[in-house]
Amino acid sequence: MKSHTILIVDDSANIRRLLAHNLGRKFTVLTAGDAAEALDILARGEKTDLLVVDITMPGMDGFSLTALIKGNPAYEGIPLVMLTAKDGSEDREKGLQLGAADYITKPFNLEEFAERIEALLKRGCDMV
Amino acid sequence: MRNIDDHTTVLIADDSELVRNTVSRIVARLGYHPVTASGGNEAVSMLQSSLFDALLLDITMPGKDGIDVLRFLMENNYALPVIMISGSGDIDQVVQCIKIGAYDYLTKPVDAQRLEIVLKNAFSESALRRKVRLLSAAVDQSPVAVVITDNRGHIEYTNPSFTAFRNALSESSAPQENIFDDEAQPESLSMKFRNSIVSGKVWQGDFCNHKRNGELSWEHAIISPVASQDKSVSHILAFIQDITEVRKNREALLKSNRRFRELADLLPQPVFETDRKGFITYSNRAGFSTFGYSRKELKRGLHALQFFAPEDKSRLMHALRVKKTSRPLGAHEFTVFRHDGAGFPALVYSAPITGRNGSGGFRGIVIDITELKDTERKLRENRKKYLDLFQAIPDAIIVADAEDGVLVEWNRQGQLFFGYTPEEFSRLHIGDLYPDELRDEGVAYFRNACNGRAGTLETQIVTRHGIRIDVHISSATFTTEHFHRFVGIFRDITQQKHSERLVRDNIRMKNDFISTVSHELRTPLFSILGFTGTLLREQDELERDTRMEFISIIHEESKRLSALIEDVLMISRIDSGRVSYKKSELDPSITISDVCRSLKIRADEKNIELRLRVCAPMEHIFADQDSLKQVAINIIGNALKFTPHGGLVQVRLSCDAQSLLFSVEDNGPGIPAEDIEKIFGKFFRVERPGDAVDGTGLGLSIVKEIVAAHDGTVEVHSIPNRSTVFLVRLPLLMKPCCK
Repeated sequence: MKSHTILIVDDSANIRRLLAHNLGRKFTVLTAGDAAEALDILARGEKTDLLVVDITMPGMDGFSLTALIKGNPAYEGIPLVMLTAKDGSEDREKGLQLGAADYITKPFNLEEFAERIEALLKRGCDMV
Repeated sequence: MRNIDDHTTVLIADDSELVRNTVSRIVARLGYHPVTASGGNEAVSMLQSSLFDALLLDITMPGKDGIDVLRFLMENNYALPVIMISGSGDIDQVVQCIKIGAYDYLTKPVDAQRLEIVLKNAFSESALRRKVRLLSAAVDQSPVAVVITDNRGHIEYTNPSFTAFRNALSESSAPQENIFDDEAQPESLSMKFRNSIVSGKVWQGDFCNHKRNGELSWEHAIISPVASQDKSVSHILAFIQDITEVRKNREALLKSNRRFRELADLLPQPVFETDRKGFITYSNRAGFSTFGYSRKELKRGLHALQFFAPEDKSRLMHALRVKKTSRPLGAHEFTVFRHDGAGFPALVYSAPITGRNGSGGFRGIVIDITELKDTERKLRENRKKYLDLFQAIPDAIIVADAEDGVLVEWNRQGQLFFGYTPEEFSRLHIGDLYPDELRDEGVAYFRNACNGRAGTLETQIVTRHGIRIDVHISSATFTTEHFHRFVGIFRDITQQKHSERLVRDNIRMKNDFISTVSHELRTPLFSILGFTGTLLREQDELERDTRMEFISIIHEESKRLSALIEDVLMISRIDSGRVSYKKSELDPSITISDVCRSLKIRADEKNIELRLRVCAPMEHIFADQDSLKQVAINIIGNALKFTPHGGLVQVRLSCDAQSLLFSVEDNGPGIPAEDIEKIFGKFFRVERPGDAVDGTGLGLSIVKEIVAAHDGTVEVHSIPNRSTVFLVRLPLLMKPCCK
């Protein structure tokens, strides 16, 4: 029984497919192609334990989405991992300041990524 | 002298009526005019009241007798000849009368013949005596010293002038006895005039003596031999005149003349005089050296006119005429000529020469103004050069008075730049050139510059028409004894600012590009790495379909990666100018059809209708096939990218007289007007919410470069929310037969 649900927000269908496949073995995975779709999913009240958000997206980018989520009391507790192909340290700091729990630069090791998500979820449970 | 025939009056004094009548008759017969007196007293009173030429006087008369009358006449210096008439026995009385001064005597009865002879003699002697008296009076009173000597030089007569003259000269008061003994004469001189005189010639000359008071005395002497009837020299007559004063005056005149000549010769400018006909009569040394004539040539005759240019002659004559009448001193500028024909500009100052007998020519001075003219010309040229330079400088230059800041000068560019007319400029203050909020800064800069703290300022100015322009101001000041000036050089840096912005934009775009490229490279790479990793790890567990799905994703991402790398390489080649086109004759419709076919899949994915229309006849072009393909792919690919699902993309190919027209029209959202100009720039991507943005932002930039390399053009027309049309024109291959 998969205990946690993860929402992946990325404009690239291939990345969504890759992450869904790899994380899908341990978690329930939801995907969204852009910020609007992600907010829809959250608004529908789907159970979401962790968010993986790509920064570079058309329309509302990952930073704005993060700010929105962290500014909303209903979702602010959900851990959020920023995913990006950008490697600027400014972006990293900006992400963490906005409330992201982690900031991961593509390309990365998928197994490691899964472990970090597990650790985050576990810490979240402990805290709860 | 009175005419003897008419009015020679003879007084006859006799107490005898018979004698009076007889003698009167005789006298009248002789042609003289007889007047009678009957006694001595009557005769005296008549002599006192009238003038008579001769007196016939009876000795024996009652009352005053003839001797009394004679005595009276002698005592009173009567000059008329007195002829006594006596009785026959009075010989003693006659002798006494002759002694007293009577001229002759007659005895009674008076013989007419004898009377005639006596009267004639008396008249001629009295005339001679008058002459001698006159001569001796003249000699005695003459200011000229007169000396008469015998033929050996012994002085026989000197007049008072000579005595006064000798006294002034000689120490000794002893009278000189011989004129040749004069100690003051050099022997040679004495010999000279002695010889001259002995040979019967007149000698004359000047000699110099020292006066007693030590002054020099000059004398002019004429020494003339006097020949007697036998033609041998009997006497020597000398006239000596003191000419010291004359000499002095002449010397003073000569000295002043010499001084004038020497002064004139000292002058570096030619000085000349002409006679009334215009011939040069005098020139100073500079005149000869300047004009190259000799004194001999001057003597032969040089006319003043020959020194002047023919075209100046009428002007010269006019100037001379005016001068002759109104006599002003003045200068006129002429071209004058040297002997060798070389001319030079000169100022000629001239004035008429006025003598006692009216105008007599001109005198003047010629001032060579070649250098002055040269300097003037150079000054003028220099001034023009600097003025031209000042005007030609492409920066706006404004000169203001350092004291009050009022504009005083500006160059052409200044006028164009600020747009003011000269009248408007001259009323402006330096502060008026700046916009209101920058005025204080501009004026402060001006003050600092005027106080020697020159620097530069980047600010904005405002033109007459209210346009603001970015400027860089540098300045200088200059000071003369009359003014202190601020010179501001205003350089329009709009272009520079624009370039700086372009460079900044370029750098930003390159940074964006690198970040975009890294993002775009990482995304497919991440997919490829991720899926290949997954495949390796889960090769046994994965379903065949899933495996195939993953492999096709890997393939797709690899292609995307490859395309991206191609674009980046292409743009890098374009940037570094290393693109080489392999141009050949080709049919564009074939190439474009191929491209459309290959893009059909992408169109289908979005359910877009991709329509190709080729208008016949299709001409060939001379192009690089791969590049043409790339142009078509990029433009059609863009259309597909930005056209929403279910849209329409129409590709048309046609020809006009010179060009192939290749157009791609979509019915997508259009391009925002503000982006139209930027779309061909490198790294530019139209951001469009809701649409996936991929590509490098290099596509259209590559299109532009390729089209330009084929001598073609590319343009874009877009109506927002309706359509966008890209139109590429490429030159047709001109076939010789078609021409």
